[in-house]
Parts: sequence; structure tokens; C-alpha cells
Amino acid sequence: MLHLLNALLFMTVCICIGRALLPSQSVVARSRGEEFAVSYTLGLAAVVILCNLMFVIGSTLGIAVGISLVAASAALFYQSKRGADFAPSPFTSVITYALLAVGALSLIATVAYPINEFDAIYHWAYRGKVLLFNGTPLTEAITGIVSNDNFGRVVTHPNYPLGVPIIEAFSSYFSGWSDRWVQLPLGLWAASMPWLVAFGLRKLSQAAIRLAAIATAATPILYTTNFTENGWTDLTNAGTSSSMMLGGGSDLAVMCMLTLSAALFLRATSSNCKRLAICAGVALAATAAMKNEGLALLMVCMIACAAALVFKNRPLRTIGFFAASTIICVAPWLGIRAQIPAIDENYSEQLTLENVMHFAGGANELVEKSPLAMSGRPQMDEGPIPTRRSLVAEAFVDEFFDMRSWGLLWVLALISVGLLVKNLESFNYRWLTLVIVGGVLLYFLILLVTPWNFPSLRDKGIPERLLVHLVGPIMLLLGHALSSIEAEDC
Amino acid sequence: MLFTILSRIHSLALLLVLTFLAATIAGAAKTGFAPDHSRYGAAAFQNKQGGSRFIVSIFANPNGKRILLLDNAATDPVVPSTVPRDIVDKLAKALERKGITAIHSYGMALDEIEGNFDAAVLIYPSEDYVNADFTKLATRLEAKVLFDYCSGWSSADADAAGLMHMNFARTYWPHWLDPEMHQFVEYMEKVTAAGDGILLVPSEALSTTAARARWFLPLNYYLAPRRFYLYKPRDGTSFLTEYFQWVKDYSETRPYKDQVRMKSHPRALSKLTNMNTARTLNEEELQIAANHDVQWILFWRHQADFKICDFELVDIETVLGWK
Repeated sequence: MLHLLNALLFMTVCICIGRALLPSQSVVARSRGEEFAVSYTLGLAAVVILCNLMFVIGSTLGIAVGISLVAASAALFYQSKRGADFAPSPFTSVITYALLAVGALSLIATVAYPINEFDAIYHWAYRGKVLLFNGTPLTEAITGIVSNDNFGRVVTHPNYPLGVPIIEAFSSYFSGWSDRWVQLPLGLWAASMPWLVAFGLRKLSQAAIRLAAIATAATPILYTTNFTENGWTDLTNAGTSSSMMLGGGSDLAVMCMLTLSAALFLRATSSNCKRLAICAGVALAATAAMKNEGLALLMVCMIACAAALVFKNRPLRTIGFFAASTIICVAPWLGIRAQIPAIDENYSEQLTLENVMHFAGGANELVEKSPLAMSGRPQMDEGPIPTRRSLVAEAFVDEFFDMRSWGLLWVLALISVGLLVKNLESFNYRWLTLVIVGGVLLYFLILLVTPWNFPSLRDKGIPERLLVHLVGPIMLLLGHALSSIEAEDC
Repeated sequence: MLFTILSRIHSLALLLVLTFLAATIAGAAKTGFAPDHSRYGAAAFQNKQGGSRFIVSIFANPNGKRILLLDNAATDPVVPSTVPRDIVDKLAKALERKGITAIHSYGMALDEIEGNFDAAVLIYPSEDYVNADFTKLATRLEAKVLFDYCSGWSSADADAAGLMHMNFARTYWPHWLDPEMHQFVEYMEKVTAAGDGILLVPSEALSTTAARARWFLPLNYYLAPRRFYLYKPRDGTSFLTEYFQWVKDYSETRPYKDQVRMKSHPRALSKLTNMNTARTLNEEELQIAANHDVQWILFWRHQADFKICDFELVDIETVLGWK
């Protein structure tokens, strides 16, 4: 019971802080549902950034928890003075209940089992325990993986970011660790998504908002991948395989933070609100604090901002605040990262022009890095070695047409991107398009130069686990596309 | 118009989503909201030749040995994980070629089977065979060995009766759900203090590259904040390909060479004294223990199946006393 209460306390703290960070409803209109989803995710982003800041200056989780509690109390007081006048919901009551039902079920499914997936246990929850027991990531439990005598501490991928571990450690700070209840705050990623999308699209037509929000909730990969691929077995074993997206992993966290950032940024540009732009930067920095790929997505968003300035309508001031707050907020994590041994994937080293040209030019797959070859056993397939580019391209095409995981998401994304020609004058449309195209291209390039055996990565759910990060921007673009078509139809 | 229709069609996937969420929650409820082996695929024996070499290898002279094959009659109900008949036949023939007598039980109740044997092989995981009284069975098995081709027996229960249990079936549940591993975690939680340092020392060459054999991962997780130290962890805990290299590297360095196995050291959990993994440490290992301020040495045998007989926790003073 105490574990549940601690997790609920963390969620309450996030909501209080998030609400206070947002401008008043008179400046940025939002419904109750949007307020809850945006406040929760934004507050969570702020807490993650605060914890990273504490760690980098040599402080501990306990101090961060204390500051958060004080900040939440102050925020509560501030909010009571400010009052709230919620905008009407864009959803009908049927849609609202349907979205709430899906959200509630996804939350229950998340905590139905204690953490029960390899990455969730060894990559994320272990770090959560380190933060809980040691108070800081800059401790031998993580940095001690390398030592002069060849013996070191047992830790996987030490320089993975601390977003999810911070959430888990905070959620168990007063109650002690619980493999089940530390997941509770993570159970709201998928549930928040439709409301975040609705918030980002609020200035558009209600029909477009509704359709985009429902389409978001209906995207299967927010919950699982390839469901029903194995027929009846998938139904009886549902929730037990690594195809489960809900739970203690971090891909949905990246997706949700990127969606939040994009939604806040879109509203900031349309309302010319610097406070929202700063909030968008906090969320984008939190994206980088969830998974290493988040840092690459941060770069994509920044480059997209610059590239989208080419045409008319240039919200320079908003972009300035967005970029500045992003850089300031991501700095603590970069400071921590610099003190942790960088092993395994180091994509800033891999993603060189020489490497890209090598593999794009038709270099072969690294079959010598396959598990079979590395274990000294003979390769099963004696055929010619495929090129890396063909394998990666094939995997991407497979994903784009995998209805079980994506529904029609990629078809809708392609049409929406194509409609850019009709929406060139809209900065938001240009920016979203660039983020999506840039994101897909980025992941293609990363996988093109990966130092690992690509078929082995494919078996582990790559690239779908990366592409899921882009669901939010795709749905926001879909809303814009639907709205633009609607205007044309009128 | 078409675009809007496509968006609506996409939204129909909500039915798939609801089905998945309902199935996940209902499935979890069925096992009391705790993950259970029954929610994963049934274990399967994958050696198409019958795997006679596993059995033959434990005898210095297999000729004349008697092996009890706990299999099913043709009329017995089908049970998941049962080894197919053609593989059982191959096994029996291969054993006979080595001079071993294979005695089939054909589904007969254990108590009704007469005579003594050298070892038993679980082929058919019926209720009666899986819930065998290991103490009774141990009196009837000369070599005190159980070969499990269905992953049906509890190695801890077998160990308690002095039987060596070897599982050869592939299991599909994740390794962190291993009951013996959790039993060992409970034991270590009682014996060690939260901040203790534990040096992980393989007692011999690492004999498998199976990913499941990385028991140091769950031990490190479940026993945090205890400090576990491992040989080259950046390879051992990394991707499978780096782990394979780690297995090779450790076996090539051979730190266990010229060390004495301490079979007389009293075992904490296991009853199998002959299987004791404790050994003396070489000078370098002793220095490493001192460098990292460890209080305990955890000796282990690198196997895909967690067996309590493969792990022995010894305090550092005792290990220092062995030199």
C-alpha cells in the first residue's frame, strides 16, 4: 500500500509542478483532460531535469525529492491563487470515455505484473535502485564497470540516461523499492498521448483533433508490437513477451516527451508565448534524458527549426526561447554523461561521413558479428552476404506495412508529408514534416552504421522500437493535414 | 475525403488494442498478477538424436548400467513438453549401443516400477513423475543423477534428496523467473549485509555461451545494493556477441589452473558435496578481492539452468585461510 501511495505522491508532485509551469488558461486554452496530461508529463520532465541538475552538482536524490516537494507545495499555492477556467473539451462524451477506458486499461496492464522484461530490469530498474540506494549515478555502482584489475561492477550499458530510473527511484523513495509499483508513473505514457495531441492541435478544427486523438490511441505499437502474429498464442500469452511496449522500458517515455515538446512548441508558435516555448524546451531536454536516441532527436528538432525558417512565417523569438531552454536543460545530463564510461554504442563516433559512405555504397552486413559466428558455430545460411543498406531498407519497408504494429500510421504519415506542398506557408507544418522525415532518416543512418550485426538487432525489435518515438509528431502532422483538407473541402 | 476515411480505418485498430489490453490483464489475473512459467511456451527437448551423450558422459564405464526412462504409454494423454516417441526410441537404441540397458516405464506409476537403476530420465512430465518422492527415488538410483528432458523436476527438491538434477529441455520463460535463483537470492539476503562486496569467481572454465547462464545479472539486480564484482563486466554484461568473447577470454586466462577445489568445505544450501564449486584463489584474485574490499566470494559454475549446487558463497576470511 505504501508503495502505491509513494508512486501516487510522485505523480501528484509532477502534476502540481507541471500546472504551475503552464501559462494560465486565458493565454493558452486547454480542457481538463489536456491540462492533466500536459501538466503530468511536463512536471515529470521538470523533475527529471531537476534531479539531473542535482546529480551533476554533486547533490543527491534526497535533496531533489525535497526540493520537488517544496516546489509542488508552492505550485499548489500559486495555482490556487491563479484559478482555472477550462476550455471545453474537443471530444464528445463517448470519445472521452473511450479514451479514458483505454488509458485506464493501459495503466492496469502496465502494473499487472512486476517489471518483467530484460531491458526494463537490467538497463533501467537497476539504475533506479542505484539512485535509490546510492542517491547519485556518479557512484561506483555505475562508473565502476571499468577498473585497472579487469574486475568491475556488474552494470549494463552504463551511459544510458537516467529519466526512467529517476522516476522509479522517486516513486519508491519513501516506501522502498517495489518492482510493481515503480511502474505506475510509467503507465501513463500511452494514456497521455491522445490528450497531448489534442492539446497541440487545439487551434485547429474539432473534427481534426478528434480524429487525430483517436488515431493516436488506436495505434497498436503504443501498447505492443506484432500482436496476433502468432495467432491464439499471442492472446493467451499477452503481456509476457518482449513485444510488450507498456511497462518499465523507455521507448514510450521518449515518444511521450517528444510529443509533449512538439505539442507545446506548436502552441507556443501559434500563440507567440515564450513561457510555452521554454516548457517545450524542458520537454525536449527530458526526451534526451530518457534514452540516448532522445539526444539525436533533440538535434533533429533543432535542425528542423533552422530549416523551417527558409520560408515565410518565422517565429524567431519562440524558436530562440525553445532552443535556449533546451540547451540549458539538457546540459546537466550531458555533464553527468561525460563522467560515465562510454562503452557499447557510441553513435557520435560511428556516424561519420566515411562510415555512412561505406555502408551506403553497398558494404556487406557484419556477419562476423552475428551471434552464431561469435559463438564459434557455423553460419546456417551459406548464401551470399547481403549488403547492410538492403537489410536496413527492407526492415524499414517491412515496418511501414506492418499493420499489426502500426495500423495505417505510415500511410497516413506519407500522405500528410506529401500535403506539405499545399501547406508550405505554415511554419508548424514545415517543422513537423522536417522532424518526421529527419527522424526516420536519422534512424536509418544510425542503423546503417551500427557496429552490431543488424539481423540480431532486428530480432530485438529494431527499428520499430525506435520509430515509435515519432508517433506524436506524426499524429500532430496528421491533425494539421486533416484540418487543411477540411478547410479546402469547405 | 479518402484521407479522412483512411484515418477512420486506422482508428478501428482500437479494437485490436482493447483486445490486447483485456488479454494482458485477464492473463495476469489468471496467475494472481505474478508472472508464472505457465504463461510462457512449454519447455521442449530439442536434441533430435535423443541426447544419449549427456547420459553416457557421466559414467566412466557405461557398460552394464541401467537407465530408467520415465516415458508414456501410447494410450496416455498428451502432456506438453513430452519428448516425442521417435526421439525416445533413438535415445534407447543409442544407449543400448553403448551397453546401457534402457528400461521404459511406459506411464506406469513410479511406486509400481520394480528394481534399482543407475539414473532416471524424465521423458513424460505426468503428475506422478513430476511430483516424484525424490528421497525414495534417491535410494533406487545408484549414480544419484536425474536427467530432465522436459524441465519438469525441481532441481532444489532433487538436491535436497542428494540427487544431481540436469535439465536438457529448452525453457521459454525468462531467466529471472527461475525459482532456484530466487531461493538463492533469499539465502544471500539473509547471510550478507546490504553494503557487502561480493567477488564473482567461476570455479572452472565457462562451459556455455547460453545467454541464460548470465546469472550475475539477476543476482546483481535482486541483491542491490550489494556490490558484485565480475571479470571484465563491460563484455560480460554487454550484447550477446561481446558476451561470447567474454566467455572465450575467461576460459583462455584459466585463473582456476593449479587451484584446489575445496570439496570438504561445508555447503550452505546444497546437499551435493561432490559438486562444491569452492576453490582456492590465485594471487591475482586475492589481490582483486583486497582491491575492492569484498567480504564474500561467490564461486559459481557457468550453466544455463540455475542449480543451487552450482553456487557457493564463502566469506573472505575462510578463503584467505585456504592459502
